[in-house]
Amino acid sequence: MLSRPRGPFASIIATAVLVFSLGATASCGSDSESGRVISVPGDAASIQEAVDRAESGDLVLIEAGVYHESVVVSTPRITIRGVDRNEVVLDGRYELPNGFEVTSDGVAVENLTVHSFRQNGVIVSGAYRRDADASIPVGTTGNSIRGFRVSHVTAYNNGLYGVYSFAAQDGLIENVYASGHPDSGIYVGQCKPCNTVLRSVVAENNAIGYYGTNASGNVWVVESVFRGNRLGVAPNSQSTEKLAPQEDAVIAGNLVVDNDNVNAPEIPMGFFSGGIVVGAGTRNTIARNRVSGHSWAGIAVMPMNSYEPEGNQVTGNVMADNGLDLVYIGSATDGDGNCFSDNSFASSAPESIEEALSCTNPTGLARPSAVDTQQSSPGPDYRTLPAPPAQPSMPDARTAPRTVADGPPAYPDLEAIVVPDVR
Amino acid sequence: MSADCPSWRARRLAGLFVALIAVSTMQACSDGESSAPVPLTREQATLMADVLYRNRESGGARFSLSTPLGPEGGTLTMSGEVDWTEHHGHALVATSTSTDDPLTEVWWSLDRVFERRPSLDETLIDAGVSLTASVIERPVDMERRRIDQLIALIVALASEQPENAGLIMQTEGSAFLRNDTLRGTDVEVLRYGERTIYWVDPVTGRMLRFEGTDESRSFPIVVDLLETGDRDVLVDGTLQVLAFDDLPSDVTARLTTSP
Repeated sequence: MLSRPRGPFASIIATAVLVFSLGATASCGSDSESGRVISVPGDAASIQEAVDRAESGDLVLIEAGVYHESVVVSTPRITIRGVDRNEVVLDGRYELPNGFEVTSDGVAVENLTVHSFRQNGVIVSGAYRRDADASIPVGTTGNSIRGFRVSHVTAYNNGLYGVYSFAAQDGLIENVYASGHPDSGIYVGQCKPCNTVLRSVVAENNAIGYYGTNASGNVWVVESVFRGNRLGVAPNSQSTEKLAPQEDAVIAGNLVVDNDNVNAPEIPMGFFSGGIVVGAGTRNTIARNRVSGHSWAGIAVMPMNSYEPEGNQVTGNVMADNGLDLVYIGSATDGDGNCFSDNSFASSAPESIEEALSCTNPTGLARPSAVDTQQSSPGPDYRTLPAPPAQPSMPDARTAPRTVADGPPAYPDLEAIVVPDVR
Repeated sequence: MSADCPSWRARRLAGLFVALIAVSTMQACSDGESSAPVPLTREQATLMADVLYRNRESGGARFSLSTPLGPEGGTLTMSGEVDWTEHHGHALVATSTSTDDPLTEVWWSLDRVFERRPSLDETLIDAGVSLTASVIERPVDMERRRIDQLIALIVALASEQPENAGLIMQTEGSAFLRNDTLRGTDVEVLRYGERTIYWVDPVTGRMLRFEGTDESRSFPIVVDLLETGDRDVLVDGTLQVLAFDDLPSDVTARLTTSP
């Protein structure tokens, strides 16, 4: 477990807790020039009105302004785009639930800012489908959202997640900035296969940078920055969502720095101070990340809930200034296929981790490996955090072709991903 | 009131109690449950996801609670107020049937409970304790104390952040039960999982009633939230606080068998 409750009520809680390449443009989807352009507020008084009037292939183009709307998108295959990322702002004023709630296939949300919503900045969720075959597990092919893109979006100070995909497949989350969330900045959950790529995102000052609960199959978290959160990157398995355990994600080429920030909002369950923490995932690849400045652990592979980590490969990462650079926690003395090789590191638990749990010639552990985790501490009210600085806008937003978000995104070339420079 | 634990622990506990409620498989106690629950809509799930967080934002509430006293029958009621910010509270306690050394009033902090049992005063005076009116301070005892389980539930009706609407929606048993009217307000009666029920004003997003059960999973509980807003709850300063562990053993033995 990443954390355990303590105190006089802990006994009754225990059973309940189980209730916890830069610059490249999206190649996901297909160009669509045939649709109309519906301008807000020129053609429609509100974003919701424009979305409701839109048909598949249309572009909803939002002019600069502050919009106090919670937009539900049930029309498939439309593009919603602001003309300027920093000047098109949806402000929930801590009264409205979600900035955008996408419940249909193939929707793109681009080039705008969402903040101060009670729940999520942008949520793409297949949980609400009524047309799916109920016998198919939610989040798998046939009972999920197919196709989504969130690009050049700034999300900050929302009550749960900045950008959240749940039971959604074939997604691209790129050039997103997420900060100030008391849960994760970006969350991909309950999908298999997810076929989802996160790249060129920045998540900072959140309780967690990236959280991927039961997000399995072609999940790529690459070439991004996770900085100053309480926890950086955490693919994980949990019984509170369907499709556990989590499997087959690639976490590569990321800059993961100083994710032990007590000035970030606190998540009630209290995760704290890890760069990349694999919470009982299976067959994940953690490669060529630069991970530094974590008082507990740089990269940790550990059990979570009733699940054990299996077959995770931690290779080629560059570690510095972590309490422990590499950590394995588990009961299996053979490591259950979890392995560590070719990392640049100074400390580990167990010691000599790259010998005992080598990816090529493991010698095994003398005993199960156990390491104490760190408990969280109080954090600020997320509503009081400052707005982030302006972020780069999408080039030529008024004239750039709309691209319907259908089909799996182009997957990165893992071999071409390198350890990022310090920034 | 004393609160030995720092507030952050309280906040974490509150979140965990939410989970307790959310995953509970306890008995429900609605007397008017619809015969044909229907799946939640997206709007209803979103409403439910926010309701405990709204309670927390409100600061506190005046409440009344009712639950069976035990397998033999009778009713235990509590009426009081809860401070969801500091996790303090106070309630008058009554039972429909007589009990030994009845508990009439209770205060609580995060990890302490303060009981008022007037009949004990005479006993204690006879035992040589100098006092006029007492309140007994003791640690939380979730294993043996029914009253503590009820307090935990009241505290758990507020959470530090919204819940995940998608997870509520896919939790087996979650459903819209019916529209109803409670204390003159139109409400939606929404079931979370198999056996916990929220009565929610869809206009304000406020919870007006919670139905569930206590930790023992044996006794249905109805909690009415009557008026929300900040609360400042303190133990009556005229009462003499006695530490449970300092009481004569024959007295402490008696106290553990009462609610």
